[in-house]
Amino acid sequence: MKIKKAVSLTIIFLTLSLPVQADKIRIAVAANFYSTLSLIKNEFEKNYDDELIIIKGSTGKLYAQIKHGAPYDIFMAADVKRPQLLEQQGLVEDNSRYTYAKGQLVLWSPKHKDKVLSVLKNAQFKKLAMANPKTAPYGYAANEVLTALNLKTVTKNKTVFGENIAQAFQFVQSGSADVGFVALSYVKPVTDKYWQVPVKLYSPLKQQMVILKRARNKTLAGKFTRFMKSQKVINIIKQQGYII
Amino acid sequence: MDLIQLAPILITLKLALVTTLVLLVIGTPLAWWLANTQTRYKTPIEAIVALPLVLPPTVLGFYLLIAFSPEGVVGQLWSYISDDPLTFSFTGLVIGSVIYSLPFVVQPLQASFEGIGKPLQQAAASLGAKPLDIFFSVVLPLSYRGFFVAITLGFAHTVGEFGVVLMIGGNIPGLTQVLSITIYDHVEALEYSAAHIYSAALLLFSFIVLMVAYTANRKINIRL
Amino acid sequence: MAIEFKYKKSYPNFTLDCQFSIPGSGVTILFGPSGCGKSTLLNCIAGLEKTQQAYAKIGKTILDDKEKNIRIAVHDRRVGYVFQDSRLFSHKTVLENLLYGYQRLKQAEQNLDITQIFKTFSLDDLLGSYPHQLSGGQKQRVALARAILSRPCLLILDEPLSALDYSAKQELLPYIQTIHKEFSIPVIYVSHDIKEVLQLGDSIVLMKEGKIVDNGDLVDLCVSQPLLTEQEGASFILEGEVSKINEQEKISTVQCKEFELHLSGNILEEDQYVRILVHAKDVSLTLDKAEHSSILNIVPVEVIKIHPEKNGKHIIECCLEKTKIISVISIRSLNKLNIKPGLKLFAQFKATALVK
Repeated sequence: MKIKKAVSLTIIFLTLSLPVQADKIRIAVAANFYSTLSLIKNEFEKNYDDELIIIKGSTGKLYAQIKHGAPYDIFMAADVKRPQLLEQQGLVEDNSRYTYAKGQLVLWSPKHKDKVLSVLKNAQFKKLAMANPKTAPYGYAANEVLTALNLKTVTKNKTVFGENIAQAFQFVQSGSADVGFVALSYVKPVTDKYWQVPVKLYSPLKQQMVILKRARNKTLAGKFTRFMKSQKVINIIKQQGYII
Repeated sequence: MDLIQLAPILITLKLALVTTLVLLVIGTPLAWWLANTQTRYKTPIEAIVALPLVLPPTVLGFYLLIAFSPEGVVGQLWSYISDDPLTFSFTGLVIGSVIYSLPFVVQPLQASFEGIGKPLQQAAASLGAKPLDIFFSVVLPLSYRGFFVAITLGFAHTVGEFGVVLMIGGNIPGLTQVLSITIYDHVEALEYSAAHIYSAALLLFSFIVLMVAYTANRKINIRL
Repeated sequence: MAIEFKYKKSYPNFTLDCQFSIPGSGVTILFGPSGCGKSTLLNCIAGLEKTQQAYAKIGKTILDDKEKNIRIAVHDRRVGYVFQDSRLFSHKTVLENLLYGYQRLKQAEQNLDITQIFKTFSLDDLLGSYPHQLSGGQKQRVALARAILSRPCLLILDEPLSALDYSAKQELLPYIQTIHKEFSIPVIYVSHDIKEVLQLGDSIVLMKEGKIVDNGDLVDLCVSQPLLTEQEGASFILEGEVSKINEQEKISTVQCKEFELHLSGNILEEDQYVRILVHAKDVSLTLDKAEHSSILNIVPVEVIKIHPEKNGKHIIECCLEKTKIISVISIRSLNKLNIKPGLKLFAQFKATALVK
């Protein structure tokens, strides 16, 4: 008798703690866009009653999780490749993939400030930080820039790689590396003395988002996507250092 | 395709070897002191030694990043020795690994020394042996098992190190790009076959190391 | 050579407060009930414990002098220590154990005849073995020899036989007696076994509750100290060398200092040093020398003192020259013989408990 009671109480308890389906969605976002998305979320929740739950992580990890069944509704990546792969694998709502922002690469040195480019060209630095070209789009872009500027040889033995653009930024900010290729969205709040890399020197850092087929609340997901395309949001995104 | 590179494996082994040696040199006197001291500071120091057991490696890596940077305490001291920063260097990794694997070496040694206890040491002293002499002639030979565990654990633990290296390594091929980071990168880049090969190799290696250690341990046990 | 000690230390439940001196040769027994502080005192002498007050002097060497801030480290004290649990180094062979202390002596002191010592302690066959292959008695023998080979000025034996069974004990006793005879190292021997005490001791220090109760020659204290006589009853010790053996009659004659003793039944060798424990209740007194008696030993003595005992008996303390002989008799006999100090009479006894 006692066991039966315990079991039924447990079931009731679990049921009650299940998430209420109605007005929430889960958004998995690449780490570098997290702070911007937080601002967008504030705006969204000012206008609507619905709730946005944000999960951040590295694009690669989130991709792997989604592939293995993670219960997200929207995936906002830092590249094109991963959303594309998900689409090819049939895990994405038709026609939901689009570019929500384009990252901008800058060369930054808290120490050398405005002179950062000449410091780079004349190899007057100890360590150059960048994201891992193999795994991070910003790293791949930085690589392109170095090739374009013919600086690969001069920087070869002095380069350190962050796992992602955030870590690259961290290396520079802490002073461990004196110069680094980082995202504008990180540097902008800190200073205005950096070298903004001309966009023609690197492949565009397109960041794409998709609505996942397994999304539980496709209506709300669609609502959010439309909101992302609104002027208000576009302004926020631009202000944070991205291009649309 | 150049699927498997030797460099990450060699660096990982080198790091584990150097770290284990350093830990034996500084860990043995520390474990000896802890086993014999009666000071009231013993417990807090034991807790500090044990910290890396429970702290996420990223916490350790984070603090090391700050400490090693040019404005950090250690970074500033280091700048007197070398122009290159301590972060992103092999030396920096060794320092990080030494802290990370410290309890894995000190604790088995301390337990071993405590197990030997005072009686034999008193007997040796009464026969004219000075404290250091007692340590080398009596304690050390009798604590071979502790040393086995310490070396094995210290080495294996460092081979598997990830979080600390992630924070302060800089992933420099041929210098700080260790095996665990390489595997991680391959996974991130969706290169699963390479990841599989490295991971299986690492698993096999760890198993063999432990097998050898436990077998040798038993053999010595029987001989004595 | 004089050996002096003074130690004082307060523990939560107990205070050690000892001041005494012991002879610079022979075996001094440290005797007392369990928990009276014997081991603590030994640790102080060996330098293994710090005390509030300390003074130790062996011959001309001062080991401890708290007032002058002198405290010689354990490894420099030259105080050998044989423990109850032998404490042999299990990773070393018997030979390596034996030479552990010897190797650490200065070159000039490494001039002992080692092989002879191995022979003396019957260790020749065991040299290559490891401690775990030895019996309890063998281990203690090794421990003993090991301590002696470190050439101590003083040797402490802390209940070395208590962990052994009876036969192992009997086997080991002669080796302990060898120490004083062949090596002239003064020994402090701790025991609470009265038989060991009587067999081995030359002088005795009695302890109770952390304090020294009495201190002196063993033979003397046997008579006067209730602590000693509690177990066996009043007894005394005679010692001498075997001068003659009559194989047919199985009688051994022992030459003590002042007289001859005849012992029946025991297997002895000529010139062997023996100690005989005689219980006072086995001694009877006569005014006249009985010529025709079955009792083998009749000794002329003079009464020194009469100690009243409970149960209506008295202990009569007599002596022949320097040898003390005691007897227990009833009050009736006391009055019948009119025993008073100064009276000359004869003591008769069978030499019973033979203690080699």
